[in-house]
Amino acid sequence: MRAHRAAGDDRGVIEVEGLTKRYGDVTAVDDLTFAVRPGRVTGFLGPNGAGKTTTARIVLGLDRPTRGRALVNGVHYRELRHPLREVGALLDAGAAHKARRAVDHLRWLARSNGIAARRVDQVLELVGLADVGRRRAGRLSLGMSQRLGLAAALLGDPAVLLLDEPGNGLDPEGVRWVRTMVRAWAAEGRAVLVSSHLMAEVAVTAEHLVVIAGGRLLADTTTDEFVRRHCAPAVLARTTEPARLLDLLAGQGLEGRHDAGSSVVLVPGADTAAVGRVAAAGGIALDELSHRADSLEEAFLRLTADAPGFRATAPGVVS
Amino acid sequence: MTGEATAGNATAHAVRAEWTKIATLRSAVVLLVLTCVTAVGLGWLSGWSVRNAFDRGLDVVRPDFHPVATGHYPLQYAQVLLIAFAVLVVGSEHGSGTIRASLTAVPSRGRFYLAKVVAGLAPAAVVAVLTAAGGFTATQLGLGRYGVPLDHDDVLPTTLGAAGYLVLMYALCVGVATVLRNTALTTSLLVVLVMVLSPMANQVEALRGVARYLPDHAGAQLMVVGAQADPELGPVAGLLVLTAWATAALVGGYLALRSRAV
Repeated sequence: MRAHRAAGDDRGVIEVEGLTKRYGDVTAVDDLTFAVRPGRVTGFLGPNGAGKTTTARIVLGLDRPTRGRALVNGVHYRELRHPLREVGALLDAGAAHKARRAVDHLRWLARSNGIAARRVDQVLELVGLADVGRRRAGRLSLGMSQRLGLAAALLGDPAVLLLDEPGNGLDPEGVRWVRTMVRAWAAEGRAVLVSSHLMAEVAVTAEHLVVIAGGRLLADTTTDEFVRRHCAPAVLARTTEPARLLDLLAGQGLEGRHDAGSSVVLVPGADTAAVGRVAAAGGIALDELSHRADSLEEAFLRLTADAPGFRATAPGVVS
Repeated sequence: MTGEATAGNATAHAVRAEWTKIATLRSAVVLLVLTCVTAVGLGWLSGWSVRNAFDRGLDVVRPDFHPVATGHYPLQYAQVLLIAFAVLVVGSEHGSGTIRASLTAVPSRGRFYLAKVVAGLAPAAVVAVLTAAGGFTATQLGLGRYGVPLDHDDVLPTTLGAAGYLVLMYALCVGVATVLRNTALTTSLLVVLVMVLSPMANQVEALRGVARYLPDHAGAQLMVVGAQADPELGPVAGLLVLTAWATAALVGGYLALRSRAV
């Protein structure tokens, strides 16, 4: 095992700074800044189309940013001579040519970075593909392809892992396996970035969350802090005068939250009676007054629903 | 101990990886073998049919028949398979998404492209020599007493020229395939150029002034002798013209790859 950076090391191994990517009129990534640190799992979350894959592609040098930069171990990915020994990436599981045997796919990858041939057998064993390694990639199931992609990422025993939707195509047992592996890699001191649109799933594993939507950074915080901020029990009040209600609540020392254009005021940590009294005193009619505690998934959807470029509505989302 | 690296430089590693890709793609290997087999088979067949025609006094053999030029005739067909190989080497990257794995492993576009071109050129060159020599020899065997002995003065230079022609055509096709990416489009374009457009254009007096500089016609001057040779374009000029085409295509491929997101 090569020496990985200590968990206390505060430098980011992946540093994204003011990253912007435009495709014509479409802004896929908008002034994004965050860092991935060693020794922990960082969840990179956002709905489909949020810019996660675009960001990953720029980190890996597959695409050039319009502005800003992404560094891996302090340099641009394209400057790495043997990148697989430093960064393991799972980008799309279909990257193996259908007619090539799984083991041969790993062989050419190993040779490209001067990685010892026996490492191919090791990673096949590690991901549970030892028995099907001689199959052509086109004849692997979706789950097996995903495992092959993970094997490719692990080939160079890298200190940085960048996994885009690693759970795709895996059965529940496989998903749990990935979760366990990801934690173990981080515990060894590796930096692990797991991107996914399934927040609740990643939050189980990740100690740190970077949430984006519409290409913009929405949250960059520890998972604990995220839960504290966004999943606390709250009172929900629906009214046609949300702004006035907020002012009145503030006068009573209650801090409410309100998203522009919405008829809902959320008051974390309050009780319904107190909010009801404030509304009555101010002569504000309430259309709804209830308790709520967001699940992580709901908090995530609420947080990302208003972001530009993401218009899908999900059931249960307050808007 | 895991993941330790073997010594060596990044470019050598990239070439070995590209070579492994070719060797582990059955269709690529099959195309290379077929290139040789087709040249040998067609060569013997065409030689045998010419001999039959002469033996029976049939007036079907072209008046400018020359046993040396005829010896390189099968190559006109076999080259289609080598073109397909060139397009496959490049197209197998783009069609499957392997290009993303490739550029993640070898992020320098220049190094990746150099490795791809070099790794394919080596087997292409071996196959080119086998195809040129095998096709010529088989044709002479088929021609029997109407053929030329293999120690005839024209044999060695034209056979080397034929092999060089194939190698340069291979390089040209790799460049074009890298620019176009689309396998079907590239194959169609190149095959139609070599098999249809160029021969037809060179039959038309008005077009010949330009058409003789098309890559395959110019390159063919490396292997034709006698009346079939283009008097305006000798083997040296032909070699230069084809080399220029191949170089331009390779540079074009590099520029396309360098600027493109994959």
